Amino acid sequence: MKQKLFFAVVLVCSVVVLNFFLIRLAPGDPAMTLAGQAGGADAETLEEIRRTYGLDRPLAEQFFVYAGKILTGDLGTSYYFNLPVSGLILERLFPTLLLVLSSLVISVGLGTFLGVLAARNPRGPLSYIVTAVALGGYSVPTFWLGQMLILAFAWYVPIFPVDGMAGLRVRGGLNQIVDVAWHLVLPALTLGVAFMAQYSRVSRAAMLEVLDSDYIRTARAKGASEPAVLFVHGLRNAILPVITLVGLQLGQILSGAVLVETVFNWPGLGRLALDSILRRDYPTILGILLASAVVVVVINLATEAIYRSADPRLRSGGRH
Amino acid sequence: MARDPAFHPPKSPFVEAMAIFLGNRAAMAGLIILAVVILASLIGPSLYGVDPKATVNAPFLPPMEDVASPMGTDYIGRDVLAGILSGGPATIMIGTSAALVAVLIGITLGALAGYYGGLIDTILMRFTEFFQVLPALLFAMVLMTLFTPSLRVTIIGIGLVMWPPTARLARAEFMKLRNMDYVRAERAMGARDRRIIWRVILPNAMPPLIAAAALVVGVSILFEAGLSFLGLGDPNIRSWGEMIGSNRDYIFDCPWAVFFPGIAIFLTVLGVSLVGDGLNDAMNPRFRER
Amino acid sequence: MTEPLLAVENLCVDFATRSGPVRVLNDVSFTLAPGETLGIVGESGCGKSMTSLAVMGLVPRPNGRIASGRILFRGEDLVRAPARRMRQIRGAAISMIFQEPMTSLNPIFTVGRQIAEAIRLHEDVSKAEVRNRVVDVLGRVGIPDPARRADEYPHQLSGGMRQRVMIAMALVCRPQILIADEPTTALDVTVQAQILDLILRLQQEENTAVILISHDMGVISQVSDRVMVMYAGRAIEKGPCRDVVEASAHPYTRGLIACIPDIDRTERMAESDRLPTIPGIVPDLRALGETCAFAPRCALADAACEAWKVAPIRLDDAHVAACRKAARGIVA
Repeated sequence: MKQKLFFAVVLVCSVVVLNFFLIRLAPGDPAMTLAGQAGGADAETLEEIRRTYGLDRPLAEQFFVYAGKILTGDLGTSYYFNLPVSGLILERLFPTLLLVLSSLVISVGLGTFLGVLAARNPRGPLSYIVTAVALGGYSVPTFWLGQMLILAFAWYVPIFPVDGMAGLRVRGGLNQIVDVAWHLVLPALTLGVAFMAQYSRVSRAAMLEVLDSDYIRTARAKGASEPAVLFVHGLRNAILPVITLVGLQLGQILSGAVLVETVFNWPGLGRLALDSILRRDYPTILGILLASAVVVVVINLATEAIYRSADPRLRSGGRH
Repeated sequence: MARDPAFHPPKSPFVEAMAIFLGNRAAMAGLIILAVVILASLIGPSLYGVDPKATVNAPFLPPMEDVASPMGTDYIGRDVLAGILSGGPATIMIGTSAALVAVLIGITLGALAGYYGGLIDTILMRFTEFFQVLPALLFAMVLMTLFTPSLRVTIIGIGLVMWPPTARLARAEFMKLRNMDYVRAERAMGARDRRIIWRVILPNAMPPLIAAAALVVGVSILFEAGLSFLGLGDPNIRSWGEMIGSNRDYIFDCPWAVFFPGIAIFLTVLGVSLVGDGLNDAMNPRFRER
Repeated sequence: MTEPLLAVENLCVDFATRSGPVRVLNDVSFTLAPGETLGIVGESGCGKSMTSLAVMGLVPRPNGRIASGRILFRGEDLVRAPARRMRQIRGAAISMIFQEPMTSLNPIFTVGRQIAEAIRLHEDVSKAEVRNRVVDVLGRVGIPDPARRADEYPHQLSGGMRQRVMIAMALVCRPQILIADEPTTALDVTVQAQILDLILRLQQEENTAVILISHDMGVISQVSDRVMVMYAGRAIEKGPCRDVVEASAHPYTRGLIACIPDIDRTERMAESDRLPTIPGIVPDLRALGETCAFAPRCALADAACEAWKVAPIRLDDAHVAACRKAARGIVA
């Protein structure tokens, strides 16, 4: 675990390095790039940018200045909003986390449940349906699925709101929570479906292997009921590869969140990233890249911890 | 003793894999879907003959209303069917080329990591993990804006974020194969590492890698669609994702202009995935018994 | 003889394969009295494990199914018993331990919890009482420091210890029948004897009937009261242990006995430098008919054997063999 933590820190540092060089690798004057095309970039502004970013200093020195700023939580200033990037990001972090975590609950929970049921009878109809849905969910463009859900459940049959995160007139207390949850349904479902499909497939395969194992036969020999065999003895073992997969796919999930937030006008980091890119607001977009790497690393550590608590073989220092 | 009715004379692995693949109904369905998509992309545009970029009819025209535009028109009167037919080649070309870039990077790094092991493996795998953790779309978005979006930038950009899974798979295969007797024999005869990696191990590691590469093509197509949807692709190319993206704000006025390109992406990726799964089943002996 | 605890009558089990159904158990019958030990012996694939799974109601679904026959447990036919009733019986009245102690325990639960589950499934007792019984039964199967061991995970225990845990789990509800399917095969030789002794000691304490399944005629002949020899899905010889071992009527049984390595035979072994073996391989079950399945491997078989429809031949009160030549004493 200590090693994992160390690597997590190294990873975040690598993103800092990457950010630093991305700007300087791009063709053209970095000051021009940082100023963006919207800024007009007269000589005075460029000089000012060079000074604030220390672009007139040697490269090594530039890097340490940059890294030092980041260490103190200073991610620069957004050109568009003229506000500190760190503040902007913190403001948008919660909606993104809400979206990502609730879609994880949907995809892992529903996906594993379906996978386990399908594994019960590998040649049965449910098994074929799960396989087909998994394949479909894997092949459908996330953003398009979101649009189709909006058309179906917000336009033709207006059950859910079209976009946004909160109604205009809803304020305070339980009402607001219900309102946000209501807005969350379609985006979370959209983001969840793609991964749910994969997790059902993985858990079905894992469960098939588990059901073949000797300890399942032992459980049956004890007189355990079929649901107990599936969900107590089987599921806990079959969910392990799903947890591993979640850890590996966090980057992908966050990528999906960018698209979903765009489709649903969800006020999160992804939406901010796209807007900043279209505005060439580099300090903001690089800040988001760093922040999302931190989010991925932190959730990754969390899945690692969950995996450890789910598999006693790792806890008492067997492997790793 | 009675003869085993299940007994067949041994066949070459390739013939056997082909037989399994051809006997797989899902894979065959995928192959048919792909054939239709490719055929439509190749001869569709010249056969249909409508300019996909020009305003050819009234905007917001629903499908089947006018025989001239069977799939309707979008918000500025561009023909949806023409867009779909001409978007096919672009989408497929970008998807395949990007997958090729990703697979080449992935196999190279995975092969080196898996063959040498030790410190090289640790470093390369940490590097791979780094790219796997980085949200690919965000990273590609940054790349696309730093460099002016063009066909080449799009392809390289997608390839640069798609390779980690291939690298992991190649590494696993190389780790497994590097201790095989025939590799040891080759080494004992004094073959150089370069020869062992590319001439001895790689051909044996190919089957699962080919199957995985097919899946990378599918993911790359989806990824390209996502980038174009966000408006970050090459603005000169009308791809399916771009069609959806440009009509995004008019989805309630002309849902068909969003619906049909999405179906086209879905079917293409579905076809690629079905074929990839079929290849995987046919070439990966572990699954043969099931 | 007392009323049998278990009576299996004409049991047939079919398995669906790609090339059609295969009869893996063919007309198997036997009885088991309280406190008795029945040894079932045969090569792998002969149907001895399937017999035990059938008694437990655990014939693998959906491919396997009991085609005909009855399994009478104290007069109740388990073949027709509903699933609910079978769950009540499994682990309580009839328990089973398996060959692979390394994989037969669930890796993610403590052994104590897995034993506790066996109790809770069948008895309504308090948490403290469950805990007491778990620690008690672990002590009875010879696990040192049972209170601490109960909270350990399977991977922290050795193979022998895990098999002791399996035995504890099987016996915690005081079953009337214990089925032990190759309980010592996967263990070290030194541990094998300990585990076998443990099973026999606990059997005597509780007067449990034991069905011991093994491919090792040596083990079977040492501990069984009665023996059933199986070949290609059929019971080809059964009877009191002494009769079957010392007056084997079936050539296959004699072959199995000849394969037992023992000290007396060391001299003879020196002459030939090898243990005797039975030539040939276990036949393909798909290709079997009603004739003697052993005939192709049998040194004594003649043309008449190839045509003979297999039927059990009663040699005396309790000793039965399915060999054409057994009746005429050619074999013995």
